[in-house]
Amino acid sequence: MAEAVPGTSDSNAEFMQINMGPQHPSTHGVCRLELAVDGEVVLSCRPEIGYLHRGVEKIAENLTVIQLPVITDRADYLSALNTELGVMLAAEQLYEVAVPERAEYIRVIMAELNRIANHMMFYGALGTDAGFSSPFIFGWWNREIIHDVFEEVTGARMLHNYIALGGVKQDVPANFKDSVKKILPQLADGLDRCHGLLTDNEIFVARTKGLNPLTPEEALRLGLTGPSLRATGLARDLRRLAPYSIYDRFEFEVPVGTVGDVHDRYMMRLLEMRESLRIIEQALEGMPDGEYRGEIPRRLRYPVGEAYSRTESPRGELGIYIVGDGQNTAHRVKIRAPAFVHVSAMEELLKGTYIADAVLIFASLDIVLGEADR
Amino acid sequence: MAQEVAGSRPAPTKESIADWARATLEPMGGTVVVDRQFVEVELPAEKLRAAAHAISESDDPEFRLLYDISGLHWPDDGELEAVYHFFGGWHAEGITLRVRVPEDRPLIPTISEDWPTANWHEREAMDLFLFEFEGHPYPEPLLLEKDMQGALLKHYPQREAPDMVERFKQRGDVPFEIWKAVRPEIENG
Amino acid sequence: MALRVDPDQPLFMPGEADPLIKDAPIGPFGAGGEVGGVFQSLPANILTLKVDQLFALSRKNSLWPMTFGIACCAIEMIGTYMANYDLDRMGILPFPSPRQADVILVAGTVNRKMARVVKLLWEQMPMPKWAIAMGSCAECGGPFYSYKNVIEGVDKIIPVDVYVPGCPPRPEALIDGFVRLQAKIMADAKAGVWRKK
Repeated sequence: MAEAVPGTSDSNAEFMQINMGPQHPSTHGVCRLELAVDGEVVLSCRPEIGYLHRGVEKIAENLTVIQLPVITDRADYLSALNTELGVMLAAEQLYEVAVPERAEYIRVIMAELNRIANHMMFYGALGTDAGFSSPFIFGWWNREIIHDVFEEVTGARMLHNYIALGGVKQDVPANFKDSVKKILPQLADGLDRCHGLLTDNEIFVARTKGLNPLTPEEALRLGLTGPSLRATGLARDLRRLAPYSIYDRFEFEVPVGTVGDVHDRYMMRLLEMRESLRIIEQALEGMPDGEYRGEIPRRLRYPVGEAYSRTESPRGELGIYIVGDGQNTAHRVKIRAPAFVHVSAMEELLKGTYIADAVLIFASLDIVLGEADR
Repeated sequence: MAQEVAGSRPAPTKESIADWARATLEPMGGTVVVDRQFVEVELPAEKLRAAAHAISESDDPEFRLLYDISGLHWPDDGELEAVYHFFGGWHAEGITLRVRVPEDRPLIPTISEDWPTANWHEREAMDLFLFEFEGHPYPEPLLLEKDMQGALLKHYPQREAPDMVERFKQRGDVPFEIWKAVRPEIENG
Repeated sequence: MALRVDPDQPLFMPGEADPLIKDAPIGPFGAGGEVGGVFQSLPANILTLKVDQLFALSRKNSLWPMTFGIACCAIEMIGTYMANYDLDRMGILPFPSPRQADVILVAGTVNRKMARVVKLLWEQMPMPKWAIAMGSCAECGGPFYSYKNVIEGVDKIIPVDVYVPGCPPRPEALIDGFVRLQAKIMADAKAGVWRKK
């Protein structure tokens, strides 16, 4: 029975509705994609989220600024330290608190380690979606090394609640520099192995090169930011464009792609990991001694006013908007999640692709539903 | 060919954006406020569409990214506020639009024709604050179910912390052991 | 304590998913009582106890969980499958389809939209099946208990056998949870839970 194809005026084509439901071997979280397919070709896609909507913003209105990282960690759980950094930058803008040097260096090191861990997860997930089994294990080995360092410093493998108002919650242990210096060559070696496994692999290249190319204007119109936008050729990185914390002291390159296809987006993240290693090396050398937390007022009432902080999270550009009204708890904490915008872009990106390619495109945008749903 | 961000043109400053806003948006009925983090323009709700169109069409300063549409609930005034943050694609400055509507008639025109990403942001604001965006192409709930909308309003109910003593009493004092069958009739029967 | 289910009726009526979320009977170990209740609908003439133990032995050493990570606990679940804390050495192989899985490992917060999905997946799993609630969100709502959209624990929807506390639980804790589930399977077989009352 032929019905009209949604989104076109072709009434001769038949289509079947397939539900790539919340539970799926390759969804990166609980997102539901309703696809209308004609054979193997996706004609239209309607993404549906809300399966992980837990009210992070509502609960953040019950918490003081000391308790705030606990709940915002759980929004983007793969890059928790970057979210904490963004939240605390906004809170420090609001409270007008200065951060000592040592704390800034520690924050940068932790945020960049978290970036590497996140990209390793992306690498594993993309490799698995492309049909391989080893990339996940290779990527996770590197994550475990980083988790050990996190556990020494913050006490938790994930969801650390470490970056606090005015600095960090506690000082790093005495052997911090040694333990990070020890893992840097291990991570570099692991990164080389990850490169060697997938980047020039015939099957991977055949599956991802030329898939879903984008121009910078198209990408900006869809709202893409972060590595997916840099892959299209626009050298936009908030650490360079609007430097926050002490990123303007470090020498690092911003990798830029050419075509904007899935292979380029993958390469962006691998190259970014290398740059993160450079940043960590420079930060370790330059880290001074001193206070790990600045002067914070005794009564932590939110000042009346607003603050908006933009940081470059591994996924894209994270915006945190805090509105205070003189009470112990915030009036509004809004997390502008890059993943939210990227999922809405799926509607346009998936038109005309094959179902197997749809999975790869979804993986290449590095979406975490905890952030999109909050 | 990599495009350098803020290529040949100098990036706009906050003052130049404020001047542009005074020239373009004040005639529409907006009030420009400069002493905040970004240049802010407070608008009545009817003028929002024209202002968003002007921002999307503007070439210098150019704004390409709609970052988010945040809702705010001010229960003392009985008003809802929508805050739109726009940022440039090739530079780091931004402009903010603020719209205030009364709580019982929260009608705001949609801007999803000029800004495609506003589609989902407005659906989320509808879910969380019960805004009504006129002309929205697909005003279905995004995050919450229809009977649970309005979650971020100040009077939305929340659950109390459970009484742990009650919970323990409910579960009885059965030990959480697994080494023996916990139901006596199985053991005996 | 008394059994709360009628042995002649199936434990959960499919199609009543929504009222069941609100009105599920809460036993001491979750909705509907212990896992022994799910074996009520097995036929009456069941085998003797020793073969039960043989079946239990083979089942517990080859538990196939359904890959059902919802939120942050999913990342630690994946970490437990990976090389550092290998679960495959215990016979545990993640399998995406519910029709061929033994255990549902609910890792993450369940909210009202997701609850229907969890229920559907649980009903699609063939028996014998078990459930592990991983992380504090799946046990009691976790740090999100105050939000109305979040269900306070997945044991309001499905009967849970093992609760693994933590936020997120360490991989060693999850392995401990699996070991306890294996012991429970064996203990249930020894106690003759499979026999119909």
